[in-house]
Amino acid sequence: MSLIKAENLKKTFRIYSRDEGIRGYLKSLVSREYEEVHAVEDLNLEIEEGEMIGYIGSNGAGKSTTVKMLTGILEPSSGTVEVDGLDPHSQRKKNAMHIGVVFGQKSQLWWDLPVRESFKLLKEIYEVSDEDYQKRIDEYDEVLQLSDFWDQPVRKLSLGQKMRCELAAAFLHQPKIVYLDEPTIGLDVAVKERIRDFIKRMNREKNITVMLTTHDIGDIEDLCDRIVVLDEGRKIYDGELSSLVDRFTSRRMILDVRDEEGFDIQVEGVEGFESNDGRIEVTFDRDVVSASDLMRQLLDEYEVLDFELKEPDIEAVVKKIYNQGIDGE
Amino acid sequence: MKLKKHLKIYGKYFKQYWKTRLVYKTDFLLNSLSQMLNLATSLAFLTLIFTQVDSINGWTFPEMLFLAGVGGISMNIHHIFMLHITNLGEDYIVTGDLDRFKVRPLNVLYQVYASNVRDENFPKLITNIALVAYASGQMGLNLVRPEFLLYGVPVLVSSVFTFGSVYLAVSSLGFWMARSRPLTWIVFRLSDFRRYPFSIYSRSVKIILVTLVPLAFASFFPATFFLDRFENGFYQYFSIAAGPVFYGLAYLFWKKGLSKYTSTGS
Amino acid sequence: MAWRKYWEMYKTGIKEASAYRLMSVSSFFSTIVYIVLLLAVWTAISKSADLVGGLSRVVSYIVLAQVINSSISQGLEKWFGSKIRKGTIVNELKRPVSLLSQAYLHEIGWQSFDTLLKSVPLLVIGVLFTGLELPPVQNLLAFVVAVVLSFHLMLVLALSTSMLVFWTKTDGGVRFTRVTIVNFLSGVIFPLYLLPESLRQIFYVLPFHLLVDGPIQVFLMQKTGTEVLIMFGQQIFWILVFFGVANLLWYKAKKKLTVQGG
Repeated sequence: MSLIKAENLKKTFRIYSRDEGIRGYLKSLVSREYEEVHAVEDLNLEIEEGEMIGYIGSNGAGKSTTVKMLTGILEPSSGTVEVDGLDPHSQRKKNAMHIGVVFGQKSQLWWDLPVRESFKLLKEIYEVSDEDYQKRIDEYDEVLQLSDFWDQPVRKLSLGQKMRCELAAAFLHQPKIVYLDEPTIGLDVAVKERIRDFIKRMNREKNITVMLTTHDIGDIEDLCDRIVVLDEGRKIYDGELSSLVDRFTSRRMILDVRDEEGFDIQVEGVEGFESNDGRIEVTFDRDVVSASDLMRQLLDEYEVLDFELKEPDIEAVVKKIYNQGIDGE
Repeated sequence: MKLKKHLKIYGKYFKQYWKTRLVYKTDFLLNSLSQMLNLATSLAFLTLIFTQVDSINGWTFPEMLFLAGVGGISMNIHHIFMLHITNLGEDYIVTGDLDRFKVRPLNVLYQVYASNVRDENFPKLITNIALVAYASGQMGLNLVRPEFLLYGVPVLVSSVFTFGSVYLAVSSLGFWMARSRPLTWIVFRLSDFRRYPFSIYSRSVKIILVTLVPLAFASFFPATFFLDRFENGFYQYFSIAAGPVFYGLAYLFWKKGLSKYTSTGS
Repeated sequence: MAWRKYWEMYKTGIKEASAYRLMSVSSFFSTIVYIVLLLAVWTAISKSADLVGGLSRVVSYIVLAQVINSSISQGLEKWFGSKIRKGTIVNELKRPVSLLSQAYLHEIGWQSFDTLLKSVPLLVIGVLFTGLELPPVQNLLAFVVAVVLSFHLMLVLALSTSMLVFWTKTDGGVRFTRVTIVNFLSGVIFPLYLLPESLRQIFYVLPFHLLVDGPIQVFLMQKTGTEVLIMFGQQIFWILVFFGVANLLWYKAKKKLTVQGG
């Protein structure tokens, strides 16, 4: 029995438009024109207990809408969703006891209170026993080092400190599933490591299912076994990370040319290029042009001093997905 | 038990709120001062009116003070604990902050109420209680009677919720209009109607005050009970039921709005 | 061209008021509710006693008071307050246009919108439904002038209290206090002509009666000819006085800001 089961999930929003000015306002009182936005279409998703899923897609692809339906914030327009046997929307409070959430910019903590007090409040809300509470706080402190700022009000914390607290807070009641939305955004490498460590531990040691939405390649590579890709409301890929890279045929070649100015390559199959630190990064589709063919053309036209062919890598794939959607423009 | 948990948590919220309160001392002092000034102006208005007449529709000055005080007590108690809902549109819907509340295993409306305590109304509450005491003294009315206690306590609780129903219903419009604070100004003005005898109003206004904006049940009718003005027996007793009834209706409206809520962002 | 800048700031005031028009609409309806309440109260009073000038005079007074009040309300404390809280006040000091002129044009812009949306409809409703009689044209014009002067007087008053926000750090309480006190002393809450003699003397010594009570008297033709001109003079006098107070406080506030750095 899967932990999360979504069948034919659909969410449509109505965006009302209104003409400008007084005339438009009066008109809108009588009838309103609207546009239907299909945020999520026909989504089928099954997640087993203990999995760590990366949920990726360009902005507007429907990621947060899906998560909001899974957490009970939004009601689906049609289709069913079941989380641990419960309907998250109609059985919201019951479902909420078994989930943890980190919503990127929105904090689950109390702004003016010391961290300590926020956790005490959460302890009450999620009915964590005194014993469990103490045990877990000590354990989380080990990895996340919360005691450094335990008595500080949340508003005085740095982004990294706040995120560590948010994560600890999300896992405090050891829910069955935790939804993380951009947990490492804007953080420096050291903090990211620590956070990933923590998430890994929670997933492997406590069998807590994690659904992670992120732009960060490091997050994806380090944490996720399974990737689900969303584009324009539809699921376009659901499987292992390695296979994803295979499927996306974009590859990157990095060149050191004598004269970067005026570098322009018009070869079929080249998806684009950009200048980075004096080196040029060419992205190409290996199905259309092979690396060796491309190289030959470049050597013909430019004085290439050095080059590097990047291994099929997730960064290019993710970049492409986030910038262009699955089909690209 | 669900209720016990909610109460316990509210207690903690409240305690925490007070701790942060001390940080914003000037805010509190200034706001309390302006609220007291407002109350003083209303009383001054009442006093000035009585330089023109000896009674309004048969109501004497002490009776008017009593009426103002009674309505004021239930309103102040409401405002201290439940006024925060008026910020629904601006502080929770537009910001998408309501999402945070929806993922917690607690009632959402409860969380909004618990997020703030408008303690600047507390000095007003004390003043209104003093006003009732003073007015009773002036009239030789003994309030400490068993039947008054039997009626008074439930009607007080009910009155707070009657006020609550009006503010909740209007604030819930925030789900459709994304703003709620300006709409509540109209309710504030309507709340002023509680200070005057029912009989001065036209028929249509009277109907509104017992149906759409049932504030008469939270001020006027209870006051007539204590003042021995038994003209409206049914209405006086219904005042005890008015709170739960109207609040229940308002709550249904709130729920409708909440399910329609789609947070901002994609 | 300098006037172009000012014109833009004026338009900003209008645009902002339009964006927040729910506030203006709500304010309009609360005023209607308030008038309904006051009418009920004063009608009841008139049944038990003889009012000086009769019920119709009180009704006219109340309606006019609300019309004028809607034309002169100020949001300056909030305008300054939000800039102080956000810290942008320091940036504003660097701008080529003085902060005070900005505030002034912003308020005029906002009020232009509000006058159209609130005051004019209120006046029309007053004439249609409460028997308010329009005075002859020259009195009406004098009334308009008086209200414009009231607007400026309220503006410099609010400007002065806005300066206090630099010290109190909170704007809501300051504005509410100003509004409460001024409403009471200007005649918005209780018609000044019905005050007992002793109180009336005090109220007329203070400048606030010039905000509302004065213009009402012009409209109701209780002040004519030279009396009106004298009143204009008084209004102008107090505008200058409070403008001076505001400038003094602004000077002190600026010093405080620069001392605190930024």
